[in-house]
Amino acid sequence: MKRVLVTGLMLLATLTLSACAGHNIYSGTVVLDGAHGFDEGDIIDGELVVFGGKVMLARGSRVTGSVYLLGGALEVDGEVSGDVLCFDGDLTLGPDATVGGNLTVGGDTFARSPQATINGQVNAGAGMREALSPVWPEQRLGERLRGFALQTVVLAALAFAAVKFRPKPVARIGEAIARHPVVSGAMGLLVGVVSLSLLVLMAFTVILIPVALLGILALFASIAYGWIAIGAMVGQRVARRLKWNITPGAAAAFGVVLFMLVVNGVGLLPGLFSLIPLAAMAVGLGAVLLTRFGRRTFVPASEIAPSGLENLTGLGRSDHV
Amino acid sequence: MELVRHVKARRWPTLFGYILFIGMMATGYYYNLTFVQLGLVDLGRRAIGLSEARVAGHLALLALVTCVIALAFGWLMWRHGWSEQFIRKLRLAFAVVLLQTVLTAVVPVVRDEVSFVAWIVAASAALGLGVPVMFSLTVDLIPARDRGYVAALVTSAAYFAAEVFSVEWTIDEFRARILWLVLAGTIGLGVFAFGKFPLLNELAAQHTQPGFAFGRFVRRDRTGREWINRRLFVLVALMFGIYFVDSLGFLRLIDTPVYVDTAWQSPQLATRLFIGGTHVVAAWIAGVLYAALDERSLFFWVFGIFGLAHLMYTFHTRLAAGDDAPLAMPMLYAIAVSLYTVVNFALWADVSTPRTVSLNTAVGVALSGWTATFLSTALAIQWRIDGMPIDRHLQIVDALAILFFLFVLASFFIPIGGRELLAHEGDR
Repeated sequence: MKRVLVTGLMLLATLTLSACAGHNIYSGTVVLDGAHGFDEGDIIDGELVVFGGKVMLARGSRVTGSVYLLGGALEVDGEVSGDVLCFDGDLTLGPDATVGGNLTVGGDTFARSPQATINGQVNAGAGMREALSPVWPEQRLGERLRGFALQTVVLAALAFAAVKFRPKPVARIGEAIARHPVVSGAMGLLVGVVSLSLLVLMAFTVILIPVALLGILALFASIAYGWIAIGAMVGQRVARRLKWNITPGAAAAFGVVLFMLVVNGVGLLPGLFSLIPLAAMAVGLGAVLLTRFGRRTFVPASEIAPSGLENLTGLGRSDHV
Repeated sequence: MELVRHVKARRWPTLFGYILFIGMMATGYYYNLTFVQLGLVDLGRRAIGLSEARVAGHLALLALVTCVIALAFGWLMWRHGWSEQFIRKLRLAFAVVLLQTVLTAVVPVVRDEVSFVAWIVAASAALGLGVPVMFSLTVDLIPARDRGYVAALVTSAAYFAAEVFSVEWTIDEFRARILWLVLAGTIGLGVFAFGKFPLLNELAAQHTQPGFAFGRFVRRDRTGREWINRRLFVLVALMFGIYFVDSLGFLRLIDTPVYVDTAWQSPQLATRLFIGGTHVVAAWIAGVLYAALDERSLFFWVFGIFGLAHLMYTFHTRLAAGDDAPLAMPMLYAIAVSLYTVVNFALWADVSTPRTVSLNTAVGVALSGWTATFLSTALAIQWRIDGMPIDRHLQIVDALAILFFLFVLASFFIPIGGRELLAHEGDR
């Protein structure tokens, strides 16, 4: 297995070197702003992504890949070899427009000449714009409380299930948090900042949006796992201290509720207190990763003593004044 | 942390050693970051009027001379056992700082190519001597367990000062800011190194304690044979890669107004404070993780972040050239730089014993740091002369970063060596 992995990595390294080759591996055009016209005979190699501005593909022009409209305006009177996907913005297909693949429309306005040729399927609807609207719109207090309650209940249920069916991994994560909170926090902060930057960059490529969404899900799942471990640890300690006779699963669920109340409550306070939920996220995430999702006990390198050095004294020479 | 133990036990000489080391290294690194790496290019091109190609050639000369002197002096220190003599090293450090102070003071008279080359050779001598001397003080002053944290403090102080207080990247600006600092340091170090302080004797004996003597990656050789740590060669190669990637990319970025004016040389203090703060936080993360993780993990992160940062810059040059650059790009760059600087400060002493530290440091820092930095600087300038577009330049740097990243990833599956050994006759 290791050999396969190493070979795979070496192959990847070879691919990386091809980035230095004389020709581009992949090409595409992105328009962010301004007016851009493509005349007869112009060829856009690869995909065309329009975020804003106005793009006009005149008769006789050609896009060899697909066209993605995410904002602004696009007038097509030339040929698009791939699909045309309109997420948002104004799309116009002129009489000489030819779409080699499918046409999918969910944008603001869409006008199509009857003479326009579409070789694939036409999918029209207004669902996509709503799907792209802000995920967290301005919420009222009642809605926020409901959201918080739902989040807490789900986490508590997950904590109950995790401690009941997979107690050891949760315990390992909890131990890493309790014994090494600074290391866990440092690791979580690093992973959080870098992975968010990576996911945003992936989303910007459009084609990697599904991977970015999966990445965000994985990130939040890891944070939630860390919080479940914190909750389980807190619940079990409180139950022990108060001598409650409850199952470890129930203690974990109670601990999660307690933890969520405290962290979110403190997070509402002004100043540096508002950073506490972020710190809790970092610590949870870091502990999950350091223990490899609870599959091993984390022992810092500094706690592994070098062999044969413990009883040495008076080593080497020194000078003096 | 050992520091807490020393504070509780009120071991004032040891605590003074921490302050002395952090002060010396932070000032030295700040001097190197600003005056040498950025100031020399300005001195050659703007003040003297040399072409880019000539400056590139002279920087290559600086790299070569520094490397040769560092290696020769590191070997000399190892051969004569000076590595284990704290007071001798302190006096040598004084000589280095004195020479650097003189070089800083005489910059205004360097106005032609001959004096520029002479200045470069003298600066190379100071740097070449300084590397084994200064870095080898780690084993005298900082216990092995605290080296990551101390390296984080040194890195934070140097980068924060360089970022927040340096607006104009000119040799005159750097000179004005640094001259009083090195002058004060020279006087203080001179008084301390040549005085008759009992404190000196206490510090001089610290490296004989196991907590100071043996770096984190040192194991006793029970065979009685003399070994060179195989890990050292791997680390030199990786550090060379880091310095090369960093310098090759950064020299191009700082020549591009849209990137430098919106980040490192922004007129807005808030932007520079953000980058300076990022350096501090990233150095703290590196200090904590250095002590807690396998050292390969940090190399993995450094190359990965460099790869990501350069990919973002490549995207920006292709898709949004002319628009303001997002702060996420210099933020990632600052994180990677702080991570590897911390590793560099702690690593060489941690693969060494008091006897071998000067040689190992000379090999490590000279071969990886100086050679890579100045060779890549010369290459970056040459590419600009050849008219290579910025996106192509950054694409190559990105490919290099990802290549190293994949090698480090592969190394997790390949053991570096069956035994981790580093011991010489003098250590037993």
